[in-house]
Amino acid sequence: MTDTVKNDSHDIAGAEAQPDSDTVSLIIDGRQVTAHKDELLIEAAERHGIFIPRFCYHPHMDPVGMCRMCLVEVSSPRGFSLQPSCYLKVQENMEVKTSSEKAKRAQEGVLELLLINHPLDCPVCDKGGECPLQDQDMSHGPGESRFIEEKRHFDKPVEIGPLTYLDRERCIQCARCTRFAAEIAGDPQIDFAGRGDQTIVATSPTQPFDSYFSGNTVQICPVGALTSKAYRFKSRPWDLEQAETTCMLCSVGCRQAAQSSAGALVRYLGIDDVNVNQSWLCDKGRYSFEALQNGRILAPLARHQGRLEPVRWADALADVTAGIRSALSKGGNDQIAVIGGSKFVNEDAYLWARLAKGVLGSELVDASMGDDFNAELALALPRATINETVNAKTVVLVSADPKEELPVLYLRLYPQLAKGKINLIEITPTRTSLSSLAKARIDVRPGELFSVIDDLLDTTKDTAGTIKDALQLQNVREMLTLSDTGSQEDRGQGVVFVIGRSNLAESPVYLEESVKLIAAKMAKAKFLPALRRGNIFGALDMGLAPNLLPGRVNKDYGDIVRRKWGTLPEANSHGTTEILSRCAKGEVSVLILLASDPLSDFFDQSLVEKAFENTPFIVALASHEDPSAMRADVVLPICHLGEMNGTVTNIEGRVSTVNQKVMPPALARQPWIIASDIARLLDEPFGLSSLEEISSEISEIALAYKGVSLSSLRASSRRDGVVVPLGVTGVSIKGSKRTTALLDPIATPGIASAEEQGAPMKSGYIPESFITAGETDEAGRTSLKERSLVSIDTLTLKGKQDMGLGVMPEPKSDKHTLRLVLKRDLYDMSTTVLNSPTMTPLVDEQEISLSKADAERFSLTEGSLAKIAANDQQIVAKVKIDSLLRAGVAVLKANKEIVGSYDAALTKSEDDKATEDSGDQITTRAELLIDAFGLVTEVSIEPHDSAKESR
Amino acid sequence: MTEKDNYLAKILERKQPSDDGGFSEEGLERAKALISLYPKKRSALIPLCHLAQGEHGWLTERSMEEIAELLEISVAEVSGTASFYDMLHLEPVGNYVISVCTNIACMLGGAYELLESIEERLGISVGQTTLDMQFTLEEAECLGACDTAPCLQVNSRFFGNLDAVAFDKLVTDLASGALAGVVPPHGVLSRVQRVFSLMSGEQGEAAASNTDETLGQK
Repeated sequence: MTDTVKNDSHDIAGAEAQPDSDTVSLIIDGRQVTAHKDELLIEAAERHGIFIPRFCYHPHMDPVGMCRMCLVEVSSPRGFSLQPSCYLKVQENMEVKTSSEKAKRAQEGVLELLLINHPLDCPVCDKGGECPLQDQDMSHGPGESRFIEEKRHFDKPVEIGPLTYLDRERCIQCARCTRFAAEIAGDPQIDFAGRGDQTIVATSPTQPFDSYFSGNTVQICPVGALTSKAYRFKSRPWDLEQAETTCMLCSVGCRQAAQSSAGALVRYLGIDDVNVNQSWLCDKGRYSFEALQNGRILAPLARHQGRLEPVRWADALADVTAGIRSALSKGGNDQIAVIGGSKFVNEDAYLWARLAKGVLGSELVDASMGDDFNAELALALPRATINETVNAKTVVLVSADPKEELPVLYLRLYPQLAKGKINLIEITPTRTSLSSLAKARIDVRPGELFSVIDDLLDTTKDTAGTIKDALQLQNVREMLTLSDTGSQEDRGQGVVFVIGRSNLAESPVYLEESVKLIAAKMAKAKFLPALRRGNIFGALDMGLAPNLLPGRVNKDYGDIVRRKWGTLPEANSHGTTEILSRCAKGEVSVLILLASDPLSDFFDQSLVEKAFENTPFIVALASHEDPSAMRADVVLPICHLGEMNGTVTNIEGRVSTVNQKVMPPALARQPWIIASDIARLLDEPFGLSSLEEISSEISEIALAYKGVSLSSLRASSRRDGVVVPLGVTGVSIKGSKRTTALLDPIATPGIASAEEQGAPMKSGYIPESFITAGETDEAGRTSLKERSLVSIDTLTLKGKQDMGLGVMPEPKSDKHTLRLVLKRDLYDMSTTVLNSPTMTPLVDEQEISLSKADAERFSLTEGSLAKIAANDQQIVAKVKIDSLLRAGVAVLKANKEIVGSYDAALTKSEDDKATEDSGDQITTRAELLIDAFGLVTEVSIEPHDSAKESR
Repeated sequence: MTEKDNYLAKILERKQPSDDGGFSEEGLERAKALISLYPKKRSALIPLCHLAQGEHGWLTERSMEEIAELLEISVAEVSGTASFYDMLHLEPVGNYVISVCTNIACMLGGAYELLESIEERLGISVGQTTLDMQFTLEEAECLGACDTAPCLQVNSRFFGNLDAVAFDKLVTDLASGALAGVVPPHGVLSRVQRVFSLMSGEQGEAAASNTDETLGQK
């Protein structure tokens, strides 16, 4: 009887909702609500403020209906029945009861069942206090168990990976971790094993859970089954304080919550910023908080009689100013060089750019440390956002492996690729972690990139010289929209190029020219420049780069900046390579390192060594005792992420805030204060005394940053940052059905619980209307568009013609040498990794990958040691035979110093005393082999045999 | 011996297993043939597990790695799936795995008494293997041979209507090799072995499909 009445009301509602076919209307708990057509019931209910309990459901993963916690009563032709709301899509006229007697009984039953085998060791469990099982048992549970038998027992805990422990007794088999590993990370190293009540999450006996993303499984575990080594037993949730911040380890800029206990950072948790990291973090970012406590420089240091000794700040700064004054008195603007700045927040970078260019008058300024291709070009290209990239029709990877350099970008790409939603084309020298999902893959030998791109884009060519497989070529051209008969101007519609240096041993000129060619030939293509360093885009936008000024303008558009800064250097600018070579020639008097470590982080080791030897005065701003800082004449201690405030700009140009959570150690200062002090001591004070003041100066003179300041970004609606320039690159979320800011306490347990302690926390979608409305007036926006961006036309298209040769310079091919590919991996010997005890063991040893044919040619076997030589230098590395590598290429890893487990092998072959006496230093540092000015690096290789050496 | 018997004997003998615990060369070929039967590679997971078990008597770590590689899935997925099934052994077992049914029909027919006498006869309890690696004893759920309760399986071959005396004879026969033609080595299944013919003169899948029919159930 009552059903009939309700059905009537359905019909009326249905008639009303008819006009819009994308929405359906349904009744939840007696309320008429509308929902998107494909929305899950649990999501629709949540959007309308009705919370249905859940464990296995996660907003960024496909539903499984595993835990049955979200059972609700749903109308069906045969009356109401219990159905899992996380697995059910909304339907027109559906009627749902989420808290009827029957639904409640079902939910209580499920909870009682889940708790039957749960150990209830909450007092000693890390999750206790922020545990969805605890919370939902209080809110939706029966409160009492009828189970009096012995619970099941497993060994506690199992070390399933280098960073993760598993306590199988606590597991409720929600499959969040296994689904994350398989669907999102593409590392299905954990899966269910066993059967019935003996079902456990397990790794295989031979492969540990060593995914780069293992920490996310710990974060989303709705019970305390997965715990991280770094946080285990460190703190209780109610002791945690929290600040929302942005990770600065790579340029993806993941939003995260920095949580501290007793004045020390103890944990980072990913925040659900739907545009960037969608609540995920990579393990390097997640566990990097440990680096705050280790290897820090606590006081300014100055060199006295060859030794660095602590001095007062005033003395250190006086030393620095004296050095600068004497350099300036020598005349010429290029006596002072500044390298680094990508670890700075925008405000720091801005003030250092102003100091370097405006006060010191130097154009020898570069933050990119040589791993860019051309900063000006990178900023001029039509930029894709991360969302545009992962929703593009075709993504072309002309960069290093994103999993190694920009892990969370990989994490956003992988699920889309695995579902076949994007076409991936790879044009790289070695296979990447995405190769198996690529629709086409072109192996490029170092030095051949430009020819390959040229052949590819020239559709008149039937048979390509560099691309062997004609079929593949056709296929690739189709995906690139080149075969379309449509107009030239539409070329590249829906295509995003991820561009970056895949090989540090190859001159960036090939990439630079290729990119220009692509931009010229494919008018609608967009680019995601894969520069990897933390806040490199902020540093470039603030002018810490050759030829660039704050606000993404070059010197030709520098009037606004000039008015504020005074005269600007006229000399032509140079990148890091040129700066270092000037230092090496003794042409530079003062070298200032802005939290940069070229000794371990630049790809031409010999050049850096010479530069350090021949520069009379080196000043290092450093947070940690890194090799370069320890070679400097004055070391100024600075803050690390977590200890400072400011804004950062990520890979897509999104500006978001960085917030301080803990106090910097001892005498460390934030870099802008140092710049400000030096300017004052040089009698050219900036008149800026706070971050807010700097920030408003930035929004005043940096065109791209108009309307964006520190204080405006602190508004809750802008917590996830905004893409600059406002109104030009809009925030577009294609295919996302999320329309309001959501906070799912079960999806991100630790954060929500901390919020209940009083720490503000909110994240989610920024409506596009908000960004455009009232922020910048129409006129302002138009002029912004016209003037701020360096246009691609202003950059001369060198290409083939300018080379005068008809082709790009191609290194002469020698059958017997190998061209070197130098690539980075996630755990290299960076300051962060070396100072984070849980991550340090993850640094693996140097190895040289060779194709099978080449290994045979040089009589090398898997695991043997090889001697690799180039440019009068030689190193030793273990041989790895890679059957998928093309012949003629050798691959080494960047920033791998220690021989580690080679030790045994080396001492064994070196028991001969003569070898030791010969003084041969055995090193594995591949950077020694590279000449920064070379086009490609050709290496010769032979088996390592020290007995022969000693003869 | 008929041609059919000959064929059966041939496919049910244990091939020389590879030293590293992985597939033998012939096994690898069979694995590829099995994979080709399915539209999706991973569907061949369980047949491949059986195939690997047929080579070593149990599912070695190395063979699970090889299976993962062949099917382009992770080793955890292989070991996880294998751990679900009682017929797949992740630890070494004896040459003869004896699975005694203790479900209702067999229980009423004296399965527990039989089990006790077996434990006594072999000197091991359920789940254990004799020191000479000859016999492994398991308790099984219904084997579908209730008409001959109490029943048991030795390497997937049925023996019913057993008591302590009959079992003693069975064990003696197994140990002496008298049942060599009847009970194949543990893990060797005709189901995965007959994918393509090994009979001389016959080729490929045509022969395989013929034998499928002629072999029938057992």
